[in-house]
This record gives sequence, C-alpha cells and structure tokens, in this order.
Amino acid sequence: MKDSAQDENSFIYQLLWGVRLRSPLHVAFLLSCVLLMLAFGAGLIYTLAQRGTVPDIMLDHLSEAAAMAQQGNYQGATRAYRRAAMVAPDDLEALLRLHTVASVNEDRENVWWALGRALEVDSRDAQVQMLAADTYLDEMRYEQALEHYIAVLRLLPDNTVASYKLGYLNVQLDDKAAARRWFEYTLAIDPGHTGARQYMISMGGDNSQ
Amino acid sequence: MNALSEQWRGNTFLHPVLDYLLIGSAWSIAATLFLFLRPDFFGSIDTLTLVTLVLLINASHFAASTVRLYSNPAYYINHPFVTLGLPLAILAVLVLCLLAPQGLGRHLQALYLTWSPYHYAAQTFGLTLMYCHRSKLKISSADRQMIYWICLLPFIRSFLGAQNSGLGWFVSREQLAQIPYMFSLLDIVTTSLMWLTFILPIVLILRFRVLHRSGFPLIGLCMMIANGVWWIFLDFIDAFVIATIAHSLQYMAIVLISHSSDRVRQEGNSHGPLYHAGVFYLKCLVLGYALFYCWPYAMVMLGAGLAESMLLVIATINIHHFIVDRYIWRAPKPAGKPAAAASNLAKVSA
Repeated sequence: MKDSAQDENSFIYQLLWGVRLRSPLHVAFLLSCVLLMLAFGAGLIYTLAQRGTVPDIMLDHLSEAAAMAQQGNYQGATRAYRRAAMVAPDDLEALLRLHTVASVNEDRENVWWALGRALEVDSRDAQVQMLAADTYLDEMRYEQALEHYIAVLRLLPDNTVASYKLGYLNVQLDDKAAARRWFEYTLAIDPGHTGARQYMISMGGDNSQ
Repeated sequence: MNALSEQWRGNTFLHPVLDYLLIGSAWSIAATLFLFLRPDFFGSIDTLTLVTLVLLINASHFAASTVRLYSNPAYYINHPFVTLGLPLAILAVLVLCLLAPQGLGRHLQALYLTWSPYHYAAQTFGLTLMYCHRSKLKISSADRQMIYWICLLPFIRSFLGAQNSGLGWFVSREQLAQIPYMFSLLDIVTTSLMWLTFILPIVLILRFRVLHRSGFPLIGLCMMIANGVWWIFLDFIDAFVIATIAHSLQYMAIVLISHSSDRVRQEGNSHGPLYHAGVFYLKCLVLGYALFYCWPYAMVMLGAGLAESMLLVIATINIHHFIVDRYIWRAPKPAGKPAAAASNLAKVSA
C-alpha cells in the first residue's frame, strides 16, 4: 500500500533533484536551497564553536536586548542586558550596554549595579572610568567624578573630553585656579576647543589669541 | 434550542476545552489577567524556559507555513513563484539589508513590525470565519465585513500608536508634533479603538442573536478578545512574548489539524492523524531551529553584526511567513491525488 508520506517525499525529491533546469524559477529555487543549507550548516558550526567561549544563552539575551533597544523598549532592554550580565558577569560589553540603556530609562539601580560591576571587572579600562565619571557628574557628586576623570587622563592623556570636564568640575567646586589649569591643558591639546576657550574668556584668562 | 447551544459553543475540531484553550487562546487571556495581578511574575520566568518555549512553539510555527507549502504539490502547481522564486528573492533582500542596515534594514524591520499586527488580526478573522462555517452559521456579506473590521481593530490601533513602525514609519513623532492637536487626536482615536476592540465583538454577538436569531461561536469572541488583549495589555505590561507564544500555539494547532486531516483523507494512507501531526511537527522543529538558531550566526560569520543579523533574519523569516501564509490556506486541494500532481511537476518544469 502506498503511503501519503511517500507522495510528499517524492514531490520534494522531484523538486530538489528531478527537476529539469529549464525554468529560471527552478534554478532560483535550487540556488536558494544550496545557499540556505550552507548558511544553516555554517551557523550550526559557529554556534557549536561559540559554546565553549561565550555562553549561548547570553548571546540570546544580548540580541533580545538589542532588539528591544532598537524598538525603543528600554525597560525591556535593561532587563535583557541585566540577564546577559548575570549569565556572564565579567562581560564588559554587556555591562556597558546595560549602563547605557538603564541611563536612558532612568533606572538608577541598574545604572549603579552595572557601573560597580564594570569597575570590578576592569578598572583600567578608560571607557569604564569615563562612564563612572559621567555617572557621578550626572549625580552632582563632583569629588568622585573628579577622581574618575583623572583616572581617564592617566590612561589616555590626550583625552580632551576628560580634561575639559575636569575644568568644568573645578568651576563647579569654585577652584578657579585648578579649572584654569585644566582648560589650558585642553587648549594645549586642542587649540580649537570652543568650550574650554569660552570658559577661559569668561574667567578672563584666554591668552591664546 | 440544542442546535442554538451548539452554535454558541461552535463545532470544535478536537474537544471544546482544547479548542477554546489552544485555538481560542483562552489561556492567554487568563495569563494576562494573572500578570496584571502579579506583574513581577513575568520577570521571574527564567530565560531558558522562555528560549525553549520560543523554539518549541514560535520558531516551529514560522517553519510550519514553509513545511506546509512544500508538503503539497498543489501549491507548486498553483503558485510557482511563491514556492520556487520567493526563497531566493527573500535571501537577496536579507543580504541587501545586511549590507545597509541603517538605510534598508530599518525599513525591513519597520515592515515586519507593521505587518505583524495585521497578520495576527487576519488569523483571528480567518479562524473566526472557519468556526462560523463549521458551525453552519449563515454569514452575509455585511456580517463578514463587520467581523473583518472588528478583527482589524487591534491592528489599526497598533498602526496608529507605533513609534518605529506603522504610522511612525512614515511620519516621525517630531513631524506629528508640528500639527496642532495631532497628539491629542491620536490619543483619543487609539483610546476609542481600545474600547471598541472589546465592545464591538459583544455587539456582533447581539446582532447575530437579534437579527439572525442564531448563536455566534463564542470561540470567535474569545479569539477577538485575546487578540485585543495581546496588542493592548501585553504590550503595555511589557510581556508581548506571551502574545507571540499564544499566536504561534493557535497557528500550530490549526495547521497540525489541517495537515493531519488532509493526510488521513489521502488515498493509500496507512497512518493515523497523530503520526502525521508528529512527523509534520518534527520537520517544523528542525527547520525552526535552523532558521532562528543557525541562520543569524551564518550572517555573523560573513561579517554582519550579531544584533543586525538577529533582527534582520527574524524580520525576513516573518515576512516570508506572512507572504506564504496568504497562499497555503487558499490553494485548492490536490483532489486527493498528490502523486499525480507531483508527476505533473516534471511536465510543468519542462
């Protein structure tokens, strides 16, 4: 007795192997089958190879988070990045992304959690130090921000963003001499830095003209 | 009276409880109510459970339309471009979008996000009509139109309210803000649509009772309410993944019923419906895994970013599913002789 599954298989068999390549649509179909098979095989090998290095589940969290962030769902993205960071707590990228989306979402708890964890993972990373400094600056905790901007400059001495913000912080702390030094430092690296120049003019000390 | 109560209940496929739970998605309405009472519960579901559910239900549901398309020679005979040409066209679109994710990719993403609520609404409409026909309910053209527009309400609301898709795809929020009172107007319209989504299905049932003196299968009402709940409440409480699971479960149930009953009716069949359903589901599972869990990484190997490949591969699979789905439920049956149709394949291809 002939089974209906055999009919189905013979149809697919004909479609894949028995077709005469006279129709452009058949050529297109076979080409797409070959490409997809290659893609599926390569993707499988890639995921198996990745399994030993990056937890597979974390990649899923990261992609889920990226998708949510792209849709403007920062609350969902924050949760997904937090899950990614829980799976791989030493992954700096996940922590930094978590910090970014949590900041947008004004989720202070996750902002500080991600920052604290990132500083534990690698405090010698300039990006982490900059993020820490900016976070403290947002919170108007100027002394702590000062320390982290100086840490950035130790790692990247030519970073005018950090030196300019040090000048700005010293203005806030009413230490005009220190502020002037940092603005001069910034202008020495980047003579066209308008922010530093404006502060120097307002403090009556722009001698660079 | 007995016939009337049967009309209210609807002529179900499996068992009233199973049909209402799986196809009517009654479980998702209950789950949404539960999440409203316990909003923290969703966050406590571990990711492994969610990923497994997504693989077993969502991924296999997307694959189901493709497996069904290539399971029957009639689709090839009737729709040669969809069966043979579309895969390469879709691949080409994906590659182009990955080459220009900002320029083209975001439009593909927006298209997929815009089309999704329509696809959900169309499925609700199709299934509601299916149950009406099965329950021997006479549906006039006006009834059909009314059911169609009621099913479409969550889509219209989603279209108007979306930021990165729907109306937001064509007109940015900044542009809308320049038109006086536009935001207030949109707010009034979307709020009205929200209420209408839940009120009009009840009006529809009353209309059938008063005008036609007949019942209306309550499973249709259940599906309309479920679709409204998905796009309004689940989206609001940030648990839309439950909606995708419910929609996929609904789809898988009906596709397995259709496929296995087609197979059982075929000449020379020697297996029961469970066998055919099981084989079909396994094929869907394997293809679903390949599509969602392998394909994006192949694109990463070729140099695309992980996020871009994930997003765009998902968008591509969705769009292919939406297109294929328009054909696999409309194609005429192969008159019980797929072998004959298959043998025509060579003739047509020649």
